[in-house]
Amino acid sequence: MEKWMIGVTILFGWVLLMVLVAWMSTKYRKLSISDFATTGGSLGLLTLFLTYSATYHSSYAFMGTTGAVFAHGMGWWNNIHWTVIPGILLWLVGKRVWAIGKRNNYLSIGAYTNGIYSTEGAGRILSYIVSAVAILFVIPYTAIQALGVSYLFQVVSQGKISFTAGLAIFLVLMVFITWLGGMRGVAWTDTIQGIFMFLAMWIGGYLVITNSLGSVGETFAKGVAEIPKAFSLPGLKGAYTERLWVSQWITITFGMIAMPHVFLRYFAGRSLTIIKWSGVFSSIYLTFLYLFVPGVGVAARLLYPASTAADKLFPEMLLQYVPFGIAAFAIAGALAAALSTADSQLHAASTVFTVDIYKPLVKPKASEEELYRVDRIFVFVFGVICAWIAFKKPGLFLNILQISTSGTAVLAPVLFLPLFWDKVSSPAALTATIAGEAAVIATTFFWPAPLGLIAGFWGILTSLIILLALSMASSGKEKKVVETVSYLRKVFSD
Amino acid sequence: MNRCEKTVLIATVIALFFTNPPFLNIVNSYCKSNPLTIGWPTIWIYLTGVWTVVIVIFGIMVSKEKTDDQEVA
Repeated sequence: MEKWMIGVTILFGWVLLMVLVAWMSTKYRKLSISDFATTGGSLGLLTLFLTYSATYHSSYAFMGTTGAVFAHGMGWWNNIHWTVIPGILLWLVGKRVWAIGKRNNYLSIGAYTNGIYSTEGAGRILSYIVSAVAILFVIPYTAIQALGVSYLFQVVSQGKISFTAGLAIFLVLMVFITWLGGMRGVAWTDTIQGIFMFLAMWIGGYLVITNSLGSVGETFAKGVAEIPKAFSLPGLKGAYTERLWVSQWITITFGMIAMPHVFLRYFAGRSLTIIKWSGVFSSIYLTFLYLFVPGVGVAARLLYPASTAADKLFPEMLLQYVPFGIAAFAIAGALAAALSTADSQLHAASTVFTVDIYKPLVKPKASEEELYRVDRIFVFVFGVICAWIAFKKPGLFLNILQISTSGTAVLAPVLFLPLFWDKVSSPAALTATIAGEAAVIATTFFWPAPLGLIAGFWGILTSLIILLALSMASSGKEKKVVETVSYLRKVFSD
Repeated sequence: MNRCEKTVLIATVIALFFTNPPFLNIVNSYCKSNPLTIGWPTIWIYLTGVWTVVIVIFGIMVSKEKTDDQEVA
């Protein structure tokens, strides 16, 4: 059998496995928006922690990280802030969101916002803005998942599957899994993909290093001799300055936990025990997934110093230095990384639109089943939008990650502070969100990264300062915020 | 916040202090003259070590935290 046939067989085997798992999940399906959006809060520990982790890490984890080490050196491990802290925040913040979500049957980020703030005036406008921002910033991020894996179909098939065909296959699979199973289908496939992705990163990474340069130790020793700047800050290009270091992890950590596909998972756990242990296991998984990435990145720099396609180096090295069958399996791990994020994001975008925008604005009295059907339609609509963006081929994964998380990082103070502080007010939250997003736009397009701090940092800083200042200046407290904080204090105090 | 949450929060803040400037600059200076430790990049070992301690504390505190699912349900 020719190599490309082996590769295509492995890739399509993986595609069929995902479809099968998504189809099996429908046996537990209920035709309701609650079930489609959050499984009605029924996920167990293994499923929740792996869907949280696999959703959190995307194509960037598999391809972008090697590209980042190649480009910047060990400064890339700034990532560790946003691999450990999200698990801790799932425990500190996610369990509180889960508790009030369970109590009030929240299904989405906008419904949650509308629930904790005033349902009229500023609070109502805020919930629409939060939903719109969540959708707006998650879509480009979804599109880059498709872009990354379409290339992989082309590589593994040795050109027999074109970029366009690969893109079409990925998009159809993404839409079909989401349409078929909703959150349950996505979570079940994420579970398989999370395990697969971890094995692919470890086995693929280890084999690339040992087969190309002898051993991990030899690779690093050679790296120190030839590219010493890669082993300290600010790195090979001098990019990892103090200011980038701090502003990047703040933006990505808080931006990611406020993204709608991550946020929806706060509602999906079966119990508090499951939520809290999911936090611990997620921190371990997300951090140690990258064990061999530094070695692969250094090897890539040593072997392909003139490469201009940093994000494509890991799959290229797999194909060059690892037996083809194993390489194809490992590359299927990249597909798993991309699909597990993309289908979750597509599901989140359609659910946020259905629950937070369609229902209140178009059909307030729509039944659970009707909303379920509408949600599935929007899965197709947003899938097409993602395809359109993917064909435009945006830049490096890390850049897209930063832009997307900048927009959602602004929401973090507004979404999470009222879980702990009962002085937060709706007008303050609305003003903070608008000003924060304005700061992100200004520091992205008109005055890029002032003082060396990236846009998301300015956005979250603006949002936080305004939220604190206006809330403290406002007279009195909002009844709903006081009730929320009071309830949470009762549940989570010693 | 309960005692377990406060403990993890304090551990996280301490870890942030040790893995960000200005303290990180001291570590970085050391990494320039000693780029490898036990064959791996020193800065990688350092960052991973600090945050692994946090993960361990996190796991211990979660195991100690009393959770009442009934109270929420």
